[in-house]
Amino acid sequence: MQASVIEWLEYTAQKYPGKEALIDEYEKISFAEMRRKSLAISREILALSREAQKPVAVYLEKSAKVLVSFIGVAYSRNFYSPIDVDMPKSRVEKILEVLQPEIVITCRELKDNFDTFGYKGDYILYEDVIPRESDEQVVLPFAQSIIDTDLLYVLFTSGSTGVPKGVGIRHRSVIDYIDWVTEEFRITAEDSFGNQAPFYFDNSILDIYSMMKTGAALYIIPKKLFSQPVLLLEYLKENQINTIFWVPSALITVAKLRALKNVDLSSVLKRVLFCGEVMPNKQLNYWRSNLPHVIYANLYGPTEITDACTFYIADREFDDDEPLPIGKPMKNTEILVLDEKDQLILCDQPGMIGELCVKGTSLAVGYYNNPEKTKAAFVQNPLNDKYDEIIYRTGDLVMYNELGEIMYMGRKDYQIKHMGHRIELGEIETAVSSLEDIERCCCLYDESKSKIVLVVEAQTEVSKTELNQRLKEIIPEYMLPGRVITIPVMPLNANGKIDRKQLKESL
Amino acid sequence: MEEKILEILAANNEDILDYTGDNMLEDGIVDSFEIIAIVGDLEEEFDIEIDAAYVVEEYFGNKDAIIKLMKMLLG
Repeated sequence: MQASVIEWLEYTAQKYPGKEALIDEYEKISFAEMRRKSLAISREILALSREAQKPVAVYLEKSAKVLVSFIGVAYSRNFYSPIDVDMPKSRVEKILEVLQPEIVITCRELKDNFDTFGYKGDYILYEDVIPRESDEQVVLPFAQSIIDTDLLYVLFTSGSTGVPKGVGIRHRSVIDYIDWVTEEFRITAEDSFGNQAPFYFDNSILDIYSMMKTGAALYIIPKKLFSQPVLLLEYLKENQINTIFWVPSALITVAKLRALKNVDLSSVLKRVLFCGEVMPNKQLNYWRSNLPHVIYANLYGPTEITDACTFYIADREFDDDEPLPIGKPMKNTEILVLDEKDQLILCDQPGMIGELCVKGTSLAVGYYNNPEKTKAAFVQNPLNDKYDEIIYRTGDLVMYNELGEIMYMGRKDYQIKHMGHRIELGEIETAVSSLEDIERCCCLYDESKSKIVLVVEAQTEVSKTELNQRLKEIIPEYMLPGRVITIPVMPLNANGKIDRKQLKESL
Repeated sequence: MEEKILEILAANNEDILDYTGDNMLEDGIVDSFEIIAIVGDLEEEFDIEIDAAYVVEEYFGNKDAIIKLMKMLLG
């Protein structure tokens, strides 16, 4: 019986001690080394506090060190929360306000930067942590006391009011998810993952913990390769990476630039998984016709249910303009499609649109330190009035097709997916409105061009470059508008609200 | 030709024209979708096919590099 994700590393470090676990631009770390260094980090945490289940922030450039830090936190029975080093100061401050960490893992180079966020707690500097013989004795009793309802991590996601929401995930949800992943795709120690997802994004959970459970290798692909597709594919080939789990935008870039003809991956690549946004069949068909023997799987799900809850393995042909199903629920997960009156839509009722709701071990504890937002999305199952049973309302609209497969139809609200990033348009609007000289604004998403469009009300033309320069201080780069339109008067609808529909039609 | 290229670049992302560094891919000036759109527009305008092998820092690092590449391909 398994109570924590740590048990995976305890096993793999013993079974494959010398085998490479993590490979990045700077170093290669074996399973035994990963365990040794994680234990040492854990020892340092325990030296500062012996209290369990406290937040530990990790503030490091994307690298193997981040993952070693995460696991070090887990060993100490605390939970980690990564903070992107490129995140603007004001957003980090909002996150720290919610999380209130007392320990931060960073490095000498970045510590001064973190000081500017007004943080007053303790630091652990990664390069100063040296493993000792006695670490095991100190740390293991804490690791063995973990129960599977303990938090493992908190990941922050965009909030419509401008305050990011911290999704808290337990050990048991990750165990449940990774058991499914490794069984469904038959992952073994022979496999190699090519990681694209940032570690503050939960797609990386699949890469990290599949590696830790099975003894597979995890290559952290340098970010700059994703805009240079031929170099990217050469990297996969050189390192014999056979499994990738990327956001569709990364796969689309390869397809649109026809890069598969430059590098032959037919003897290398075995599995192409994707999640995070809609994958168009046109580009998937390019991959499928060039590499027909690869398994292609569309995973779907929000951070709140541990990365993904449904999947579809591309097993039949699709026209370029057909949508790809998001499929069926994973094992030990139930999907409820509820209509506007909270009535259940059944899989033999094709074409009826409802909200996708999730039930199961995969559910987050809610939003950390935010009971109000938690209560709004994690609710009692309306179909059960006999006992407490929480479901998560995703806000995603779906329907069943004739085959009983779930099809994604769109959002109930103004959340979008842009280059794989989940963004509340409201967060951008809140940031823009905070600039003193802007009265009114409206943020839209132009799906056909994959561009965030900001409409501002002003008498003189607002420059995009100048505006973005200021917005950069408040919101992450991936949220910056790709187009800024100035109009003298905002169109209003009958209720006196900004007429989004009319603005969108005028794009 | 140069003018047409600059026009295409500006239409996709006006920041490219002001960028003075030599690696706009890494500096986060353009995202990969904008690169795709630029390649598509250049291919259409000049009726050529740009091989994916050219989509690297060396040829797409800034506007001058792109102009140089186009001159080479059309030359």
